[in-house]
Amino acid sequence: MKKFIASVALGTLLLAGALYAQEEQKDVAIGEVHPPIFQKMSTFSVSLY
Amino acid sequence: MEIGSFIKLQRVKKGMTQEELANGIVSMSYLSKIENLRTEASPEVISLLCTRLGIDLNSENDITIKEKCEQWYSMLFDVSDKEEIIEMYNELSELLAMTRSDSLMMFEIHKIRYFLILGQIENALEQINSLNEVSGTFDNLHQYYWYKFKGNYASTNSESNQALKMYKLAEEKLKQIHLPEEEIADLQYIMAITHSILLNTLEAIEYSNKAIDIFQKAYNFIRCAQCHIVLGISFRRIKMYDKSIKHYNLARHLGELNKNNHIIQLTNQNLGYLYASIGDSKEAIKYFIKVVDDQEVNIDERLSAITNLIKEYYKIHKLDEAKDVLVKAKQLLNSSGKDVSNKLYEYTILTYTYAIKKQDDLFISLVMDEFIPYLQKRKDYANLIVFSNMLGKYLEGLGRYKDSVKYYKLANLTYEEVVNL
Repeated sequence: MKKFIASVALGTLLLAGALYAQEEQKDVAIGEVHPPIFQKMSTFSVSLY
Repeated sequence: MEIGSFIKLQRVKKGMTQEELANGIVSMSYLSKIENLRTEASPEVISLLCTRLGIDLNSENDITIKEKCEQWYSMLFDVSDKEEIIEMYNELSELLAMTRSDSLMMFEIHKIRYFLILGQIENALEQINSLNEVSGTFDNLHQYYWYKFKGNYASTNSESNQALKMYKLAEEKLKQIHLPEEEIADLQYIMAITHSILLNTLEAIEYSNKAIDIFQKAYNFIRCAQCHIVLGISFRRIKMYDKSIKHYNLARHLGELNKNNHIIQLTNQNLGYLYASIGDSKEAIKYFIKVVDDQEVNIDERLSAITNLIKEYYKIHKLDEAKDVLVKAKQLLNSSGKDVSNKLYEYTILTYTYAIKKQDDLFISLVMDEFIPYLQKRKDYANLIVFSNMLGKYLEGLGRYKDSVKYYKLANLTYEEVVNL
């Protein structure tokens, strides 16, 4: 019984740890500068729409 | 939108419980059935519930609302004038609060993007959380934008792994709905950027090429230029430098044609980085100076360029030039105000100041005890390699061989980690 409780507790801890790590997963900083994901308005933008 | 979903959405938006809404009209369990589309209530019941929610059931205005919504979505897509976007948002909010409209759910989903564009990240998260409750009733089109905007939220929050998951779910939805080609290209473009940030180079190339085909047909030159920049970054990473330079030049050309300074300077910044990475400091310096000297470029990008410029001058032992640039960099940093992201520039500037002035103790304690732990915490591998190597070399010069090996080793291990990513 004790073993069972210990293994359940360990499992819960591991799962919580994994979820925490997943939540904290931020981007790795890299050298180049990327364009923005949102389109910026341009003074001379030509579009058919 | 089904009336049950509409009632549920309005109730959640107004912060009412099922008990409060149902009280004296229907039982709570019956309201639950109406909201979850398990029963069809009589028009009288619907009318009573809507009256309590303060909603007008007359849908004559719905066509106008729909047209206005479409106009507003298009403004959000182009990120046009922010004041206009806000004005229209207020108008639509008022209209939709009083009328039962089929456009309401889509409007609520687009609010996520609206808050992101205005930089109100917490409001965007709140909106995502409040829509989570009703997301089970979304149709395929709703789901597409729901996933795309949740991805946009994750991207804004620097959580590209999560963002990519959302974009892939949105991409799956494309099979079941019909959307304009430029909308599809927009998703492909943001997927290209996300793959590139995650260092998935081949996928970044694939998605950029797909997007560029559509943007070319639509004469959307700015987006074409942005795709060329992603391609430039990708080809540099796989060491195809000529191809990378070709794409950067195409991006710059399009930037010049459209008089878009942001594109031009983004190209200069990345070309500087390319030349620095292949050891051509002279060329790298030329491009970094262009960014630094341009007052129109935002301070964050100028700080990035100026710190890179200092690195290059130091690398080729032009210490007098490096000193001059350091003075300029400090002025720029002071004018930028206190921002957490400036910590990197602050450390970089101090590191080179101490190194050039040969203030050994200050240099070693700063880099060893503060800067390197900071870079490790931020997972800034590129800078970690540069500054571990710099510290190793510095310690070697002082005859502290045992300590220097430790930092050369850190640089090597970090490099391996980057390669394995």
